[in-house]
Amino acid sequence: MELIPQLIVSGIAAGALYALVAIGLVLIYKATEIVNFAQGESVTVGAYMGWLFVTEFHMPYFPAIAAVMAASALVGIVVERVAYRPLIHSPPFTVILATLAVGLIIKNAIRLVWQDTPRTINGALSATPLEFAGVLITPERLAIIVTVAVVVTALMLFFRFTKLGKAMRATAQSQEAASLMGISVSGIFSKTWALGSALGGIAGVLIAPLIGINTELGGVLIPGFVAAIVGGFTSIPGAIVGGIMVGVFENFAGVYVSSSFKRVVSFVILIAVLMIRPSGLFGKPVRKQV
Amino acid sequence: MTDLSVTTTVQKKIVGQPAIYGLLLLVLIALPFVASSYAVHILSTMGIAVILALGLNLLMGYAGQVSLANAAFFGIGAYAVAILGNRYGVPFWLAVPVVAVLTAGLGFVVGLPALRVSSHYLALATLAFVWTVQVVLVDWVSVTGGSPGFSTSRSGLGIAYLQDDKSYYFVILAVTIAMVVLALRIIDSKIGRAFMAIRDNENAAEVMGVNLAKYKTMAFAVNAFYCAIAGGLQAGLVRFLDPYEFGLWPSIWHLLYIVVGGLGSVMGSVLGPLVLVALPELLRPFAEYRELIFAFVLLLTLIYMPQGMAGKLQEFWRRTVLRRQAAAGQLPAVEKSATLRNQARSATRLQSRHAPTAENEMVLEVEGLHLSFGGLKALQGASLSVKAGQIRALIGPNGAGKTTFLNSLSRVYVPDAGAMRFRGKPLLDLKAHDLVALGLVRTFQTIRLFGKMSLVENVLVGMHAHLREGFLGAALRLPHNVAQTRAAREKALALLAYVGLDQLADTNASSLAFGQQRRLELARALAADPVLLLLDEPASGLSKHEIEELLGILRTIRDQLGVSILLIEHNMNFVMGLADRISVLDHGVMIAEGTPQEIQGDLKVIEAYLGKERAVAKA
Repeated sequence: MELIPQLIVSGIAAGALYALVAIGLVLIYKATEIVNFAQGESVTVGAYMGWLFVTEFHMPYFPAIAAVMAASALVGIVVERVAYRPLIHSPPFTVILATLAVGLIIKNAIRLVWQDTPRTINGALSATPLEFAGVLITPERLAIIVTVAVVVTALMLFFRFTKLGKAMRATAQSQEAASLMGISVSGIFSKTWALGSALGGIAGVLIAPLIGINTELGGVLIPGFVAAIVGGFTSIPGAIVGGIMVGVFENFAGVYVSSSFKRVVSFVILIAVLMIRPSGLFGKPVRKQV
Repeated sequence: MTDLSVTTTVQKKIVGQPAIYGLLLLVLIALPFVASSYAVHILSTMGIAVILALGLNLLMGYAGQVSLANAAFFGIGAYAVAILGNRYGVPFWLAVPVVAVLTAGLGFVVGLPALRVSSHYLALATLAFVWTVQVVLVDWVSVTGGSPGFSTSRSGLGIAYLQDDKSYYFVILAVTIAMVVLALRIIDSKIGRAFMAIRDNENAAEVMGVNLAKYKTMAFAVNAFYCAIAGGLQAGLVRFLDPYEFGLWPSIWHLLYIVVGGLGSVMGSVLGPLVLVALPELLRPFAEYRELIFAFVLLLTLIYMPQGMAGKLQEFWRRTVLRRQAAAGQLPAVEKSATLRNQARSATRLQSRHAPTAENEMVLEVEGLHLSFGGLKALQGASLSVKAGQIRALIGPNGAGKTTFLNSLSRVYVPDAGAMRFRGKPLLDLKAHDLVALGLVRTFQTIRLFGKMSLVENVLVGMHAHLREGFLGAALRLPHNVAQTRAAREKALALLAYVGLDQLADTNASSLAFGQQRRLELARALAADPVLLLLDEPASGLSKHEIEELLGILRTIRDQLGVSILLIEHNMNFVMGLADRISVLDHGVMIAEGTPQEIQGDLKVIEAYLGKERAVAKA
């Protein structure tokens, strides 16, 4: 029975990462109605940059995260410039394919530069597990939960109190009204893509010590995606709840059902949500307009 | 606009050239005798890729439904045929069609989420499927052989006599050609037009009687069928099946085939795979950069060639022909204003199939309709009736609830209370797509045409509810289908003549001028053989001249075809000149009813429009 709290805690840690990826997707979707398929690559870029800054340049862990955010933000800016802006009047599906193409280009560029040798970020945090009320947690997992909590809080404050945050919210609600109020909509788009990708980058640094670094890290896009949908795709709290749900369910499925099931559990959740509540747990049902 | 009509004639020139096809076929037959066995293998792979691309294009390019499940159905087809043959001795020629039909059934099930969600949610639901299939193929080792793959051979499949790669290539060639022909036939049938109508405008398709649920799931079933056929052929082509060739990335690969080739184009479904299968073979020395190069090809195609190779090719042909015509001094024919001239002639072809309305029959009766949106009470007991052969107008100030009223009639909104009967039948028992078959047809305030379909095709969608054509009929082109299609086409052309658009029959609807779009929408509604036409602001946006023309058309529709009309309209001159009876709606209730003269003098109406003071002044 003591397994259960253990599974929940490590599930929350994994889920927090999914939530970060999901929030990045949600921010970009709210602003531009595009699902950024290159989000997985910002995670990969984040992980490699984390390795570069921490392991190679011996930067302290937390300042390194800031540097990583900047690098991943750049990925978002590039994707926005190359895939979104030239296709702004195309159907969303075309743009989504374009983000996928840019993601592939980034992934292959990384592969060509650093080859396929797996890497990891080590030595930043101690490996001895800590114990809280009988539940063991590694400092790495604890760091994930704490960092994500800090990032999400900062994000909420940013949207509530800063001028840029408010401008982003306004643009997400109505591009036309925002531009009439003197907000540069295209500038906001660019910054939103940067912010969304930066969040992916943080996920990359945090995930690296757990599963190592390789060019397939972008696969975390999929649970992140499911998390976003479960949360309604337009809600940050929804994305967090969705992420944690996926993380915890995965852990339980892996232990109590089978490891194959662990790999498809997020889809089971996805289908269940789509069937029962297509607008997601936190989304608002929309009356069909004609 | 005029040059687009040339596109289609050019298309016909290319498409209708048997000599070119004969030559192409000869080349394809001769190739294996001169090519190396490696090249024959590549050609066979191309054939399979073409079938996969066709299946995906029918679903995405024609029916407009996003799917990432292509490779999953491909894998299911391949593994099923291979396992049945190699392990249980089921012969290839039996296994392939049976597996294809069963996989089509599975496709139907996978398509079910399409009824509830769209676009990227759908992409995800299908992604979930492809992922699950991949896990099953890798993890169910006892059946699929797990990640090392599943060994298969032609002798194991019971087709040892095709051991020679050349013979097997001919099998693939024949099946590929058959699948191309099948695709062309589906597209040029009631089913294909329903697909395209859903793609171009779901609401309008439904209002024209297209059962969205049926045709969306059918598109998925057709897609799965194509993929499973390709899979069956793959089981015979390769020595072993690799589960990783049926996952998400191969699905995206198939997507690339049709994006580069051309979405919504059969020619594109053939061209895309040819290039994209050949390219990696040519790029073998740069294998490391393969994915990178493909990603660039995809990105550049999306930005600079969104219609794909097929689209570019057609544009090129069109320009060439135009240049030649210009040089020869023959400019394309310009539309003649041919409205009323044709009507008498065409009306004879437009006999209604519904039981004729009796004199004084109440075609439509609406009583006490209530509908609220949250706190807003849009309709508060609105009642209205339309007698056979009557033109009734529903007017009222902005926000009176007119469009809500019409949307309740066409079953877009469900009223909270009230009764609606059409020729005695309660409308609440019917679904939106059932209304057309009974003779209740509407148009929209903002015109909803099927932009990427030709004018004739638009009108043919209007006949959807009355045409009898299933998948087999479309595939086999039975005499009954051929005759029906010919009659339907003639009727469509007659209807286009009726509204003066017959000269533009083969142009795309999106290239029409605004006034022409209104007339096309009317022709499409007439094609549905209405007893009662519901028109939502038919005169809005039209010029004075066009309004007069429309007035004439609507009067003749009533006089010659006996169609009753209920219309919402703001243009008072138009309403007063056309309507027999007028109902006035204000704040969700009918405040007046009568002839145009009576309404013009009604104080309550004047008050509703102009306020109390003016009403008093007038009195």
